[in-house]
This record gives sequence, C-alpha cells and structure tokens, in this order.
Amino acid sequence: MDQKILDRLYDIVGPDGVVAHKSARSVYDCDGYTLEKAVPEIVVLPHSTEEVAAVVKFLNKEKIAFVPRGAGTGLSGGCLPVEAPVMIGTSRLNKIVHIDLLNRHVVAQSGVVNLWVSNAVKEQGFQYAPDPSSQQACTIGGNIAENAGGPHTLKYGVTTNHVLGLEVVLPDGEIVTVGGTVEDVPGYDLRGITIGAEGTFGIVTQAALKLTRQPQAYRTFLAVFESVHHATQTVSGIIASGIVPAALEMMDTLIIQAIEEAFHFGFPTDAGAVLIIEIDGLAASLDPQTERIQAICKHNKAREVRIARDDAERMALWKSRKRAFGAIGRLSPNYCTQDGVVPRTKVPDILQRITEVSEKYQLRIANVFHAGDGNIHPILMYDERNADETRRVVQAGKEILNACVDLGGSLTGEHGIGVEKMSQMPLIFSPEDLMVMTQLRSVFNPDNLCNPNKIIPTPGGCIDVTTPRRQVPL
Amino acid sequence: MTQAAGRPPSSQFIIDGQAPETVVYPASVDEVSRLLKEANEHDRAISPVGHGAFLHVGGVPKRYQQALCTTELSAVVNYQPTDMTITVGAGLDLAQLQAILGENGQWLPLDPPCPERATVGGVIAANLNGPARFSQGTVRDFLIGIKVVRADGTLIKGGGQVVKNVAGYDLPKLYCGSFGTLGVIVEATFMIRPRPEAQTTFALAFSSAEKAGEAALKLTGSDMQPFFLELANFSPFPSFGDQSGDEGVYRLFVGFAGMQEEIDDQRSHLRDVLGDDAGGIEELSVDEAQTLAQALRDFPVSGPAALRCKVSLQPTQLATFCADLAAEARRRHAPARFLARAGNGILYTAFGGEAVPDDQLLALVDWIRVHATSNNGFAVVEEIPPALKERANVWGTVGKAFPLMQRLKETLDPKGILNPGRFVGGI
Repeated sequence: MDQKILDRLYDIVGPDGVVAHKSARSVYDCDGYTLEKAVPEIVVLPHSTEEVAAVVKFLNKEKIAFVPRGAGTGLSGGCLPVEAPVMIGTSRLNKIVHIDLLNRHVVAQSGVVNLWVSNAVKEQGFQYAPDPSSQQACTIGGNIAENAGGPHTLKYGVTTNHVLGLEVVLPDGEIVTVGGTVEDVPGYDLRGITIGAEGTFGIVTQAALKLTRQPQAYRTFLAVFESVHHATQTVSGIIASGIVPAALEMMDTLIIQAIEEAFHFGFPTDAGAVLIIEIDGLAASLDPQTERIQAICKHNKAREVRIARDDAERMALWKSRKRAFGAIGRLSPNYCTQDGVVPRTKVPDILQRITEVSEKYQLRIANVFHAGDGNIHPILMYDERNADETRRVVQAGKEILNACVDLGGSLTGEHGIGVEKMSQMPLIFSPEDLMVMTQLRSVFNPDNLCNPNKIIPTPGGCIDVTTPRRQVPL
Repeated sequence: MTQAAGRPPSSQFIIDGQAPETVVYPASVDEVSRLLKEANEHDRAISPVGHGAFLHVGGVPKRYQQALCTTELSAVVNYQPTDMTITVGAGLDLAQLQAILGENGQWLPLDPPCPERATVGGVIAANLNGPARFSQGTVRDFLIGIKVVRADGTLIKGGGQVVKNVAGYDLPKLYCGSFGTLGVIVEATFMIRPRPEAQTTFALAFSSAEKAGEAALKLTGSDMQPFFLELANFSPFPSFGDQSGDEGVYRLFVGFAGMQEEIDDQRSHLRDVLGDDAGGIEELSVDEAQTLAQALRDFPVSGPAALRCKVSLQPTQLATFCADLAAEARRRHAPARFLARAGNGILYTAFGGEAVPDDQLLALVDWIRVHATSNNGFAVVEEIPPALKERANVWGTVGKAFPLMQRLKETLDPKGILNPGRFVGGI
C-alpha cells in the first residue's frame, strides 16, 4: 500500500491505532468461517466515532475499499477482506456510554462485547436479551451486522427486535443517527434495514439497545425419546398447546453420544433423540406449564422427562448443548455444518431428507438444532485427507440447503450470507429481488467501498464452493 | 373494474379535500403490477389505500390521480397453525385476520385502532399499533416476509415464511411505516402467537400526572408483566368519570394477560409493587374491560378533534410533558385529552372538539414540537385542518438521515408517483 496512504491513516488514528506488521495483520485473515482467508493490507483501530469517520472519509476520497470487523466470531465470512485492503476494527470503541434503567435502554459503542451489556445491568434485574452462543466474545456491532440470534430467540426475538437506534458512519464518512432512543421515530426505518446488512451499509459506531427484565424464574427440562419422530411430535405439541418456551432444542443419537462422552452429564446414550425445553417468566406460571409439558411428552412416548434441580444443573445442561460442536471432534477429524431454516412443521421432513442424504453420500450426519424455530444445524463429518469424502460432503451440504428451500425455508437462520452462501442466494431470491437489494446497497454505499463482495452475487460471477464449510462451535 | 358491492365507496378516498380521478380495485398481484407499470409510464400519481380509515394522516398530496384500493387482495395464502405463521393478501382487514387466527386460539399480537377498517397493508405502511405494544412489540417485530410491487410494476419480495431468517437485506422492516411511498404492499407473512388464555384490567386514579407516571415506572421496573400500561387524563367511559380531560385526574390502566395463574399472581402483588401512593385500585368487570380496551385502542382516531399529535418521548418524560402541555392547552382554551402508552413513551393527544382558532392550533403544535425535540423526542401531527398542514410540518424534521431517505425514494419510485408529498420532508 502506498506509503502516503499509510501515513495519512497513522495521522488520523495515531501509531497505536494501526496494525501494519505482516505477522500482526495475519490474525485478521478470517472470522469463524475459516475456509477462505485473506490478510488485510492494513488494520486500523480507531478510538472514536470521529476517527472512524475521518478514516472512512479519507478512504472514500481515495476510493479505497474497506471492511469493518468486530470480534471476528462471524460464521459466514462477513468480515473477510475481499478486494478490500483496509480493515477497520471496532475493538477500541468499547465503552458503555449510558445506562438508563428507568427507560430500559443502554447506549453502547459497537465494540462492546455482547455479554458486557447484560453484566452491566444484571445486579439491577435487567438483561440484554439476544444471547448468541459466542456472547462472551462477539461485539454489539457484529451482532447488529448479522442480526444475531441465540438460543432464546424463540421467545425473545433477535437483535433487530432489541435495537432502538444506531449511530452509523456512512461509506462517505458522514456520521448519521438512524432511529433514536425513543420509539416510532418518523421516516423510513433505516435502523431496520441497516441491521442485518452485514456491514455493507456503513460502520455502526454506537447503538441504543433495549433492556429486558430478567425472568423471575426458569424451568429446564430434558426429555428423552426413542425416536426423532416422537421428539418432533412433542415440539409441535408444545407449540400447539399455546406455550411459548424460552428455548426448544433437539439433539439426535449421534450428538448425544458425543456429548455424553465429552461432558458426562448423564445423557442416555441409547436414546433416539432428546429435547432441551426451557420455560421462563413469572414463577406462578411455571407449575401449570410444567404439567402440560410433561403430559405432552408422555403422550408422545417420552421415556423420561428430567427437570434441572437447581441453577447449577441448568447451567451444566446448557453448557453441554452449547459445546455440542466441540464434542464432535471425538467422532471425526473434520466436520462442517449448515444453518438452513424450515417451517416448524417441516422439521420431520427435513430430518428425513438429511437421513437420505446421509445414506446417499455415505456420510455420518449428526443433528443438534433450534427445533422451536425450525433452524437446523446438521453436522456433516468427514476426513479432509480423504478427497472423495470431502467432495461428497460439499454435495451433501448443498442438497440439504436445497431441501430447506424446497420445504419453504431459507438458507440461513442466524449466520448470515457473507461470502459463504452468496452463490446460493438465487435459490430463494429472483433477479428482481437481488436487483432491489443491489439498489438499496447503492443508496447507502454508492461506490461499494464498504465491505464489497458480500451477500449479493455479482451476475455471472458466482463462485461455486467445492470445499466444505466451517468447523466452529455455535 | 367497476364499483362492486362490498367495496368501500370512492368518497372514502378523499385526501385533504382532493378526490382521485379514478379508483381501481385490482384483484390480483399481476393486476397491481400492470396498473403501476401503466401509471409509471403515464406519470400518474397513485395512492395505495385500504378502507381509507387513516387517510387524514400525512402531508397534503402533491398530486393525486388514482386511488389503488387493495381490499380485493384479501386471500389467506398460507396458514399452518403449528408453524405459527400466516401469509395473507394485503387487503385483508385485521379483524378478519384475527378471526381466522382465533379459530386456532392464536392471534397477531397487534391491536391498532379500528381493526375492521384497517387492512394488513395499511397497518404495515402506517406502522399502526395499540396498547399491547408494551408487552408484544410492534408491526416490525411480527412481519417476517413481504411482497411489494415497485412503482415500475416489478414484483419484489423480502424475508420469507420462516420465523428466523437472515438471508438478504431486511426489506420487511423498510416497508413498516413507509406510508405507501416505496411501493404497493400486496402480501405479508407474519409470525403469530397463542392468544392469552385470560385477561383482566385494573384502573387507578391519581391527583397528578407525576404520581401516575411514577406508578407506571414502578410497574415497568418490577417483576410484573403488564400486557398494557396506559396513562390518560380522561375517563374513556362516562360511568367512570369525566371524559373531557378537564378534571385534573390522571388515570393509569394496567392490563394483565396470560394464564389464569399469572393473572392471579399479579393481582395479589399489584398493591405491594405500587405502594401506598396508589390509592384506589379498581379491577374492571369483563364488559368494562372490553369497552376500555376498545377506547384505548381507538383513541388515536376517535371523537372529534381539531388537532391530534403523536409524540415520542422517554417514558420518564411523559408525566411532566403531560402536565406542562395540559397547562399550555388551558392557556389556549383548547380542551385537551391525553393518552400515553406509558411503558413505550408514546403519547397521543387530541385537542378541541369545538372550534379552536388556527393560530392557537399552530401554537400548540409549536409547543409540542419544541418540547419533544429538546428532549430528543419527536412529534407528528396526525390530524389538523389541511390548510394548516404545510405550516404545521406534519412529520417534523428528520435530521441528517434525510438525504438517505430521499435517495431511497428516488431509487424505488424515481418518478414520484406513489403518494407524492405525503411523507417526511415532502417525500
């Protein structure tokens, strides 16, 4: 990169705000999607919104592309620098600016870690509801870019349902506020369209987030079934009964065995499937819901329904679930996963299709997923030293996503399109749909300098993915 | 496309004194496409309408040649109760939608005014919500998929039919509150919820706005989970006290909904949470509660008023704002009624039933806007004599994000044929 440009960036952010050395920069070569890598030519770590704006204004003048980055925990390559020499990290924008408990919101800079927000208000009985599994590391800015979810989205919704307003540095360096700290801000909901835009509309530097009261009480169940079929019937039964659980997660035999071997929680390794069901809310509401849930489980031939005796047991159960992907390492040297979504009633169909795919391609596939949302995460196991198996995994993955779309679903429930699934966008969106998305991007990002080569496939430029996807926990 | 029985009369589509030259009732998405393509080619200004119940809101149309009424697009496209999603044509009215969902013990948790006269498309475009927003959320929280015909006639979609989906830009959000200026909404998919099994409502009276406001904050900061929380300076029904807003009594209406056990639990804790200041707490009868719910829901459009404003504030600012505004209204001899969604910081005001001079109305708008914006809030004038609309600047100013909004409009409706002049900054 031209020395004059480096000098100017140094001027703006100071020597401690620049990562220039090759070995230091190489840390930034990918996010949680590790299949593709690219080292940025320079990483800048601005200390303030004004510095972000000055950097972006300068890059815009020079027509140099850039990519924003939070903690790099994304799962679809959203902050991979593709033909974007400059990376702008938000790690120094790490202050919680303002806590307003009476009005139930927090103003935080975008580099603040998700969990810090809940920790800051925990003592007072509040929480920031979106809780992605990476919440100890991922940033608010990244959550906003990906419209992140978490295990409790079934009841509480995703990031966009909890953001009041954003401060954004637009790709020309202008600082604007979209939304606010109050509700129903007049004008188009630019906040809504910026959330989930995967950093292609500008760099979010600050956000006003809604706070939620912590539930008065929880109850967490582990229901054991002989078959996946009975477990899915139970999911439908619970939903149909009018209960909205806080979480409703399913695991099949393969994953149960892996987890049990790793964590010794006491999962029955001969079970066909287990459900983790959590309800929360007023303590008075939990007993009657418990009765109903137990009856529904029994009706669907549950072998056993255990209730977490205390908070420690509840946490142990969730720990097992959240680390399920790590446990797969015991079964297979490599694995990859998908993030497709189907309508809730189609969960049995997609599981059947996954079984067929598994047989067809002679691959072991484990299932651990958000059954209540219809958001599947099939884990395809393989050995990358076996070239033929590796090819079969890629084909199998594609076939599963195609099946999700056939069943009326979507390509991604919470991980984003990024670079990973760009080429599959035409499966669910028409050329007209993709055209309007391109035009929307141009409204915010007319020269496509901000996070280029993401989300929307360039006509004729689709890259066919031939190697498997990520292997990181989620 | 002649006038058929059951269709709203075209006189219903008069906007600020302007009648459309034609009213069309497309019966299919293709027909909407064709109509828009034609209008775009001939530069004909179109207002998308449903039953025309909320046409008084918004700026005076710059041009208005055709009303495009969506009420024939009322099909239920897909409804799987156990998926907890429903896809419907944009012309279906909300009351019908709720009736269909009600057969399965479900509902779309939105309670905007006049559900019999509010179409799904209208609810989305005007971002219409009601008291339940405190516990349930607003239109944008439930809309998961949308189909829209662009100004040039192209059909586009965003989102999908699944409750969790981050593929592509979140178009459904963009169309919530877009006021018919970015395209004609033809189909919508919503996430739905089980209908609460039981419900009850408490009415509390206070001698000042501040005391009522404090009680509301105690509730939102507690373990209580009110279904709605409404603060009013009038009584929504005659048997219950003064309806004019003149008596200086502030009322808090607290609704609870859910399982019977949840309601019983909260009933038994209500007084503990509110403390001694609460004074009289009255639990309403089922009939009273129903009448009240309707009155709270419909307040933004009910009864005669010379001026209606909707103000966005912090919940903590509501009480003082109401008290000061009441004094200001008295000074200007404009009877004032207030109703606030107390947990959301949304305040609806209605002034005058009788003639209030124009300059007084404008002075009130000015007062409201100055006081709202100085608190980082916003004020929208929802009803005022059309002749005053321009001076009242009904939407207020939007700030530095406005150029983005202009570019959005130019991108999606380059000729400006959709509702020209009716939205923020004359968009």
